Amino acid sequence: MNDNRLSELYRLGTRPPERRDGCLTPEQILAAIDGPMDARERAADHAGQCSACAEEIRVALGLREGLAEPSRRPASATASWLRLAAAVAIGAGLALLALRTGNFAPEPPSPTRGESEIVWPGTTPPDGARLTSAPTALAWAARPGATSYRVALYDEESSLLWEGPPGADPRVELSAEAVSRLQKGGTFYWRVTIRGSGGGSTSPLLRFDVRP
Amino acid sequence: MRRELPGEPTAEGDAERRLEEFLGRYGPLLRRAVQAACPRALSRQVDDIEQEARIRLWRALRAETTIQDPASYLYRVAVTATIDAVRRARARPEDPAPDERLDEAPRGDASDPERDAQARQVTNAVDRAAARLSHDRRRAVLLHLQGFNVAEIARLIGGTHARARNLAYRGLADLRRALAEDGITR
Repeated sequence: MNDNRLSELYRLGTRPPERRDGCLTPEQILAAIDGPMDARERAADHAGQCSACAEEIRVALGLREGLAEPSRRPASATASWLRLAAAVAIGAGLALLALRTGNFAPEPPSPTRGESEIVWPGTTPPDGARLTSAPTALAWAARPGATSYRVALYDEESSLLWEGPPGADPRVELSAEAVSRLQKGGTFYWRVTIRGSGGGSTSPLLRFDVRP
Repeated sequence: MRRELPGEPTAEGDAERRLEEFLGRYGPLLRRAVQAACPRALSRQVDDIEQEARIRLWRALRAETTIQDPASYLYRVAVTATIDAVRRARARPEDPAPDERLDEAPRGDASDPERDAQARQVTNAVDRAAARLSHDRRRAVLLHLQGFNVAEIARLIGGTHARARNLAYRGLADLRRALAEDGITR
């Protein structure tokens, strides 16, 4: 048995059950890399016998390496100020537009907008909506070629609140429990995973606020 | 209730401005780092993970006045968001599509009980054999079997690369001998 085969079987044999009591928390994984020596040793001992935690430590090591650059090469102050000036100019333009159209509500913050993301029209509730009562269903425009949709709903802390069953309709009824949680108010995010004959895709992260 | 006027400074507005500034500086790096570090099976979830990191950053910027070490803070946020995504994917109740399987590391598969049985046998034998090694060699060799390279082992157990390499390879030789004594040769 060569080393690779031995390693492969050992990793398979040390994969923990789904319920991972005693596994490393994200904080302990961070400490495994940069924490005090005793924390690193404890984490190393666990990772040696748990392939799931070992894999997560490798993910953290990869991120550490990938994100090490900014501390060594800070962005120029000029570029930062130019970006800030552009953002302020765009914000002022939007404010003027809102005043002219009589919409005095400030634009909702959009921390989730990736630069390359497209806007998804035709959703209910609309992306960025501010609601006074909880929606009981979520809907979106049907996508060509889609064979099933699946919706995940998250709270402001990115914790999964509810996940719908796969379905062919571009609409899903929320569970009573999910509606009850929404009714308490807050900012919520949802995303549609689309399956089709040509593969899969996901919507951008969509947002609504509930302020009862 | 008083309405906020556009352009008026607000906690949310300030947080958003700082988020823009922060992501203007670190956003592309965050994306590249998540793409590079994600297990292959999560490659289609890079957008999700990045979005989660952005949400967490926004919440942090809204709650805090300053972030002392942005690069370090971004790293912590990216790690927790990515690990949460890995755990969610692993715990997904239904059998995922083939292209979404977390197959970076081999996983238990009910369709291959023979392989599972062999993995259990080898793992038990490795555990017995490793118990006979010195503590440092045992730690290094088990990390080696989990797929860590020498630089990573050095980072995790402390010390130089040379020490980590010696511990891992001498530990592996010890382990081989111990496995052979137990009749595990192939």
